[in-house]
Amino acid sequence: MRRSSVGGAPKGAAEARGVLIHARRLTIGRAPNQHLQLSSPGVAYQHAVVITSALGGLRIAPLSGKAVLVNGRREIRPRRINPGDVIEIGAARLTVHPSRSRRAVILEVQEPASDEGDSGAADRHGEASSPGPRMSPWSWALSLGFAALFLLLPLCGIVMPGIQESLRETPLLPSDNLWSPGPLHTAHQSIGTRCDACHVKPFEPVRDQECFVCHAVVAHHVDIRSNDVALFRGTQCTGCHLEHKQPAALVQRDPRLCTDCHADLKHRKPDTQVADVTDFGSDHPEFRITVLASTRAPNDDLASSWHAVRLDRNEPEQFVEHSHLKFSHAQHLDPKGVKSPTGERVLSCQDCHRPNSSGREMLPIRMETHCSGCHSLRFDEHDPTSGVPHGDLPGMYKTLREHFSRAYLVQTSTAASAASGRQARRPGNEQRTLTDREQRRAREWVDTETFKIARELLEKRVCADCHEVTHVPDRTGLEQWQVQPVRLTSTWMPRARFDHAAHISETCVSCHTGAPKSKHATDILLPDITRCRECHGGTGTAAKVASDCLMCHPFHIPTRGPWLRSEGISVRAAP
Amino acid sequence: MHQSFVNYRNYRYGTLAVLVTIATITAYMLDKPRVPPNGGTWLGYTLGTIAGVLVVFLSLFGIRKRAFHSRMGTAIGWLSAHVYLGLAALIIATLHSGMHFGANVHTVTYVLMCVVTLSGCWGVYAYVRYPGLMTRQRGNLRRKELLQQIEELDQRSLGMAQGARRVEALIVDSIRRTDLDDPSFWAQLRGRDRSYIMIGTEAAVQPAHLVPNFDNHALIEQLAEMRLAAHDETTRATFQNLLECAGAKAALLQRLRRETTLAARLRLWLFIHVPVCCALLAALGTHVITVFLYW
Repeated sequence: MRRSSVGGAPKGAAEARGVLIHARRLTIGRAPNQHLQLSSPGVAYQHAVVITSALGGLRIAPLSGKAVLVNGRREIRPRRINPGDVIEIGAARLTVHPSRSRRAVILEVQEPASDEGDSGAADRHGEASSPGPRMSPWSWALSLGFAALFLLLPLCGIVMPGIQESLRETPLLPSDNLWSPGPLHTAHQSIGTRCDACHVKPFEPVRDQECFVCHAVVAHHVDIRSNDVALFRGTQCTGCHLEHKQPAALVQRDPRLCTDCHADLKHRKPDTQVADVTDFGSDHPEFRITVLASTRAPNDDLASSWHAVRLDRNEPEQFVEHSHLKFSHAQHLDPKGVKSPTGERVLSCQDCHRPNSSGREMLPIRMETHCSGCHSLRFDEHDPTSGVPHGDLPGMYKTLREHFSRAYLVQTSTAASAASGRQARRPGNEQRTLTDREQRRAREWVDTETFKIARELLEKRVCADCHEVTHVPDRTGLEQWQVQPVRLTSTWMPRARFDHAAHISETCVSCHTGAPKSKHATDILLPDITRCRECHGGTGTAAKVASDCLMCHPFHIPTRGPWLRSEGISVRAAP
Repeated sequence: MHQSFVNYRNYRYGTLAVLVTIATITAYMLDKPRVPPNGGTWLGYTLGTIAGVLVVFLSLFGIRKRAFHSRMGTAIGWLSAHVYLGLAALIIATLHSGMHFGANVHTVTYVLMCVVTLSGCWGVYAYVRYPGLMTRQRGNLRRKELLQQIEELDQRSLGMAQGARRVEALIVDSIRRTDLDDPSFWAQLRGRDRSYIMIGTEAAVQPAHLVPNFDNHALIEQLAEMRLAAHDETTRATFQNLLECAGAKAALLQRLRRETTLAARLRLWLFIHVPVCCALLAALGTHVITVFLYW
């Protein structure tokens, strides 16, 4: 395409000159690189172009946002130009003259002569202008954009719950999840993106009832039937359980959460039995050990009921366990070995003390499992079936009676057989019944033998090896003995948690140091706090295992009753 | 000693900023909150409030610097405070965050603050460095004087070309199409000479060509050709003078463009600093609202 234009000089007809330009697009504007350079006021740097139309002919097209008037009408879209048209660009007027070619146009250019017009560079470009992108549109766009993205759109989700889900679920769409200051703990990740599961009331901290929706059974720290509950008025779940923190933690373990009260508990609860504590390493009372103690019912020599008592290590005469068992750790752990049916056997702690499946606690000691291998209950050394039942005194007597009755009968029948020769047993020809006299003799013999053996078992060997056997005053015969029932303490420190598995790298005696030398079952072989402090220090310690309160002591104590009930909170249904 | 925003009133605001920073860092180190340090402890709220108030105060500088009749302190004092307290504000905001970052509006706010502060540092560098460079490179001439010299050269050339129609047309067109005031900021920043010249305008029957006239090269080429084609000594001398004018003008234009480039660089950081600062204000508001909306 060739296009030519003839432009006139701006300074009046006298100086007019013609220029022939060949171009595919005729550019019009103030810039130096425009084919038709206009310097009139109101002309933009790049203002308009003249192009060919698809149908032939020429069109003038204003560049975006620039004003071009054709015959006085403002044109926004490309407009065909015809001879005679007057095009106004800024203050410049272009008159279209007829040309011989459809692809050529003759433009007569008239620019108003201005006083300063082209007069000089200095006047036109006095001082450095301050050009550049306009900042306010960008500023507005950015601030409104950020407000819309991070505040308004997520707010829409809150106001219109219908779109909440789609906002949260669709990637790249802004939702209130953008407000989450940090990750949820893995235990709470099932809540997912539902912020409103916990944040129910706007501009209010998360309330306890939102926690109780799921944690309805969480236990209190104190008995919920006691007045101590009042001490916890105003205590919020979020006081210790803070979410969205980094690193994510279910429980904040700062000791002050405990020592706020426990540093001076008497101040809050004058009748407390709990000693004050501030730090495990430097200010923690000696462990008190809880053991089972028996109470004897009035007029009964037998221990009849058991209850837990806490013992103070500082009172050695009371610091004993009365389990009514006779046992010497020293004897059993004799490095030379102990007698057993298979000869001398060297025992170790693990032969009796086995951990449970979790490894944390020890399984209870049972006679049948742990003792009977060596401690046989046979009363007749020559009869392997002559065992008495364990833990059942009447049963033992019955077993003995049966044993001697049978022995008596066997003895008499053997004697009779020997006298009369061999006799075939025939139906109807039953053993003859004993006469009354024989029966009396038999009973007397059985009683005597039973009593003799029972006394031997209860006073000399077998039972007496391990059990305390007492005599009931004013009773005789078999009724004179009572075996004191044995109850071994299984949980020595119920207020604390101890995990044997966590201490697997230690040997048993590195903590239970007294065990190899303990001669009495009354000895309490639990380590004292000094022993623990060899490895465990306080919260801030660097050289030892930093041990906070929660390492051993739970806050929510299962036996105290549900917290929810103590506050009378009604909870909405779980979502 | 010259007083700039750097050493305004003997580093009054610098000292204040250092003191505030030391105080907040000390408080942060000494504070042993029951939970990991974060914006929600009492110190976190305190630092957040200080940082938020500072951000708003720093933004007000944009208003104060346009209020030429304001009697609220001097503009240079405000600038000094703006620079030093701005740096302190970023440190305080960092402490406020407790170094907890994530894909959320709070971290976006912090990042915007970093962008604003860093662009501000760039601005400080620009204001310390470029004005001196500009003064040095334009050799004690004000911009207006440079332009006047260019205009004098133009007038001299026009005067010499008078009468010779072809030369005059060439000179007039080169003057008309000299790139003096390209409004494009990026063009100014690049500092390229985008002058053009239309060659062949003297004969309406032949097509004219629009060619780039970088540093008057095209004009000088044309004039040199005409000089070679000239027959008499006087004409050649005239062309020689015209060539000298064209060369001198090219040198002046270079200085002018260099100055324009430096002036553009002096402002470039603002195009980040100001819009991002506005975004920061929006994000800061969102941060404060949402933190308490979902307490």
